[in-house]
Amino acid sequence: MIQKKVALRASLGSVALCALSVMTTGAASAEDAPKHGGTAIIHMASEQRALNPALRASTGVYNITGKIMEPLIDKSYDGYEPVLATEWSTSDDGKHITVKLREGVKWHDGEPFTCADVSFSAMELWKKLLNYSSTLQQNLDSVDCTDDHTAVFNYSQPMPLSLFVAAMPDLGHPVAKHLYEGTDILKNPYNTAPVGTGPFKFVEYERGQYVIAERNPDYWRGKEYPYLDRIVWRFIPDKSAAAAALESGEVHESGFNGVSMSDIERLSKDERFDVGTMGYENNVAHSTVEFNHRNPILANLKVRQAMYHGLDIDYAIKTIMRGFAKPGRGPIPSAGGANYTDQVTTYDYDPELAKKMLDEAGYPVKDDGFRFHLRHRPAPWGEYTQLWGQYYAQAMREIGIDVEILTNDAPGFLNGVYRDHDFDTANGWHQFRSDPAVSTMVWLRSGAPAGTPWSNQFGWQSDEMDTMIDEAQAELDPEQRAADYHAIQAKAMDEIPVIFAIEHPFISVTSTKLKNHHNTPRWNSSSWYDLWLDE
Amino acid sequence: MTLHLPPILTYALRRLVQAVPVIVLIMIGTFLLLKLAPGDTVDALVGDMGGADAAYIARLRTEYGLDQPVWMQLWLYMVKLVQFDFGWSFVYEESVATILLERLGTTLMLMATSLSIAFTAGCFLGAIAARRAYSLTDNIISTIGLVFYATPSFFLSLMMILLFSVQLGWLPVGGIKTVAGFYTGWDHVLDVARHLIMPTAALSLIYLSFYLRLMRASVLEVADLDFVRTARAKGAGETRLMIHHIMRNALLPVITLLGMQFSTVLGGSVVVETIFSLPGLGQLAYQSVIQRDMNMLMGIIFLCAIIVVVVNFLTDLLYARLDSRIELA
Amino acid sequence: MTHITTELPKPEPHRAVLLWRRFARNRAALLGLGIFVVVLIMAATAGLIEPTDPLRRAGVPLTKPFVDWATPLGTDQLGRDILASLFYGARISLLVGVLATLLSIAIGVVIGAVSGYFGGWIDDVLMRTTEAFQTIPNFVLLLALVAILGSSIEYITVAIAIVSWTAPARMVRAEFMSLRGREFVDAARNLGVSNTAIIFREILPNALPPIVVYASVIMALSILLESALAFLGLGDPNHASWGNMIGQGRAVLRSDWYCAAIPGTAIILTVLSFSLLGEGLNDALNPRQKK
Repeated sequence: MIQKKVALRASLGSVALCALSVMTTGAASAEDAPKHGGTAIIHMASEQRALNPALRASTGVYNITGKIMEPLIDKSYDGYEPVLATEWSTSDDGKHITVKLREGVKWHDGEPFTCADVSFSAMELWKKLLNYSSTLQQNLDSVDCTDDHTAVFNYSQPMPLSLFVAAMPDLGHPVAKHLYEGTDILKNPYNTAPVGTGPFKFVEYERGQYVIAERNPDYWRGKEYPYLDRIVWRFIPDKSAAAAALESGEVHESGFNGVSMSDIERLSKDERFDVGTMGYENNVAHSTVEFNHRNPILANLKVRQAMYHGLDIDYAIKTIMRGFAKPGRGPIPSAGGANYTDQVTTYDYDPELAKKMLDEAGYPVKDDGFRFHLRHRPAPWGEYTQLWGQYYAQAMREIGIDVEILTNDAPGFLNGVYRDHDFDTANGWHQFRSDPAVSTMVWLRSGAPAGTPWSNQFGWQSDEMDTMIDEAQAELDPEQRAADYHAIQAKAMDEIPVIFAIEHPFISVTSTKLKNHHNTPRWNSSSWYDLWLDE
Repeated sequence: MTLHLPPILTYALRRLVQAVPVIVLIMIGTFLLLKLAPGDTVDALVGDMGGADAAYIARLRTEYGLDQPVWMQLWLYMVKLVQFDFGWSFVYEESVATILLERLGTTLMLMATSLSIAFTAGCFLGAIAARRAYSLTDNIISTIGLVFYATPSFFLSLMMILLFSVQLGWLPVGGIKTVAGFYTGWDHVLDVARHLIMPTAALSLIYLSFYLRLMRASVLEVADLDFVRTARAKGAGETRLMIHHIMRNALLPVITLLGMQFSTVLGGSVVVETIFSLPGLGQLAYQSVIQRDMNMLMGIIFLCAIIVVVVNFLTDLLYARLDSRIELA
Repeated sequence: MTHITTELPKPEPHRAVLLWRRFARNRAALLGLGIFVVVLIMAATAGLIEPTDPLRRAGVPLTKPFVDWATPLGTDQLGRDILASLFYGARISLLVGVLATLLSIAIGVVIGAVSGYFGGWIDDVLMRTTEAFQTIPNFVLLLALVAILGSSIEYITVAIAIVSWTAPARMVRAEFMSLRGREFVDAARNLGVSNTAIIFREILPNALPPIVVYASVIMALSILLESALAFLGLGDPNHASWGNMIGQGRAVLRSDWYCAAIPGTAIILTVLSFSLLGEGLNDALNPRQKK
């Protein structure tokens, strides 16, 4: 079990470790010949009722549909990998991106996959209906089909090829035009019974229970793929019950922290399971503390710095995340590759310094024992966000700031923070999606209308930052682009509009019976054509 | 010409007419209540998706009719409901009626078994406890019943999973049937039954003490009444006395409450269904509240109201059959 | 049948003594009283156990019980002292229980009394409303209320009261229906006593005993409801409540079972004590046994 020891507590994004584990995974599959057959059963903690990745960009959707529908490009540990696209290039002005499509691919209903499908999907779904993608593709004018297997994406503004490619694994799933054209796309029955080109065909969706997909015998990668006969996703909302299902052998894998941290730690010592953060390099998230800068106390940089000094991040990582995390260094996580830098200002845990800074900022301890009172909204995203919110309140009380926690369900939280701005501080997380332009920059860029969740609704505005973000997004030269992002990261750590306190990957618990698992940086979302079961 | 309906039908009609304003009240109340909650279903959906931009959010809201005034939304809903159209669930991307039908079976099965077990066992134990009131037997029965009643249902459920699924490996952790088991006929029935053992046990153990206490009190009360004393004085045996005189009358107040219990148990099953991943109405109701899935929640509440009305009607009939005084009248 | 009255002219003991004797005949009720007193003492002495803040970091997280005497019952995931939380939790549980009960009974009494006393269309309207509240599954209604109001302990208490008043209302109404025709009520009415005075001074005292007994049921239920909310992550994290402790301890149930088991036992014992007390009160107050 070399892989287990390596994967366990692997600091994410560490290139050396990634390379090593790819090697061990590869070696293992070379030794034992893969077996055909079997049913893999996967735990899903929440149910994403719509099963169309071209309508809903969400890891929960990819988890299931990634096996049935494929993107143009996927990501592997070696970089971007052709799937339905075979090659891609851009024009000199960056306004025309040409994508060659794979030939001989068939939809599960037997119709051929062509450029018409891509053109239709891009214009009707990706640009108009897909969350996140509609911003990305807002300048997309048209998609021309020069032949059946060549698509040209025409933009009115330059689109960096690296950004286009980085977005494709999540936001580049074509649907079959012949099944969607002329229908009400949002109510199309194929949204819950997907038809794709992937290694598995959709069979059955029993709401609240499971989704079943079975082997596609005509898969384009060849007759030997996929190895599995069937995949079943079981919806088990209760984490304790999910851990019990893993132990009783009813489930083979639980990803995205589907069981509690304590059970993750416990099962990591169990020989029957591989536990680790591998396969989530593309899905890293930040645990945050968000400030409402409309509150004059919090608009004071010195107060925010003092609060940062009051947080014992290492302690929180050790106790709440059980060591499966690292301190955050601004809006780009270490998994961000070239765009990441650790050359930024940091704020060590020092409660005495924090108290002194608060005194200096003009907020001495008053008669009631506190300097000031804050109303805090924690995101209801389960165990760790709740504990992190409570730890934050605990830590702030130690430096003389009274924090009252206002608990809400998800719509209540999203409204209170991102629409009504009715909070002083909040905590939640934001997922990094391989490129800062399509993910964490919305936390800093001003101008998002009220009611846009996970955007800068903090009342913090910096023209300089806005300009830097816009320039970085449009920058075509990768090296300059990385430098731009380093500067943004440094500025974000200096001014702390938001505390990107902890960077944590997701953790999966996998039965050792599954082989070739977690071998790509977005494994749970990938197609699993090479996954096999040793029973 | 006057219609001569049998009394039972007249009675049924009267109950129905009484139920209509209650149901209307419930529907309007529920609708307005959920509208008071911060955020709507689009917020919930976008939260589930992991975010979206402003234009996308605005478009969804228009699409779902959430940009109209609340009274307009309520009116449109009620007009559809009168035609028995429950509307569309934007969370499930499916019509509400379809989902409700899917879930109803599980819930009815779970509730019918739990309630009958709780009712039968509770009445039986309650009668025993009452016959030996204040004895050790009574104390033991009553206290054990109360301990189960006092145990939070999630605690009881988790303990059962740990014991019977993880330690002993006898029963499945959750779900309604073996996934990809593809059983048919009796195998299917047995498979579903195996999945329902623990949730049923959890629910019935909790509600058992309710019936136990009620029955115990009821028997004690009836045992003191004149007609029982008369019967005893006439030399009726204790067993005969118990079955023919006491039980029959003691059951009356217990049965009256059976109808009302349905809603309570449905609420109680929210937690149990969540732990055992059962696709029932309780869990669906909870999800609908936190997803602000208006049409779905309204559908569930409507269904509940109908079921309560029907169950109440049936218990009334049962009541009439059991109560000798009503029969004579 | 020990309670059959004898003809001997004994001096009549004080009413309270009489009630206590009937109560104490039920041994289980005495046990309930005992536990209840312990919980009361815990609530009263919480400040002695932990003078500052039960939510503060008191030690190394997940210290087992009986290892470190600074935290005799161990600590939870955030290093909070379980003993201190347990004592403060007793306060919260009693507070939620008592306030929710008083509030729901107040609502129930008013609605039941008005409905039963006046009858007619008022009764119709109020009873249809009561039925409506009974038809909506109470826990679902509770969830909706908490979704609207938020999860602060005050709102949770109010929400619990709102879902619990229907049974007392029906009980009060039934008592009023049977009492309003009695001679003493007619007499009062003939003497020109106002409706309000008749309701509250004449009839209500007679209708109270079953309500007092039922109060113990609501107390027990409200503690269970609070813990179920906490289980679903909708508790109030600003206070150490037993529900929150179980809700969070559940995540570490398999490795550090004591985090959930200790408050779990506290809930079971407290709810049990309320129920046993209720049985005892029933014996003491049940008019039928007075004969």
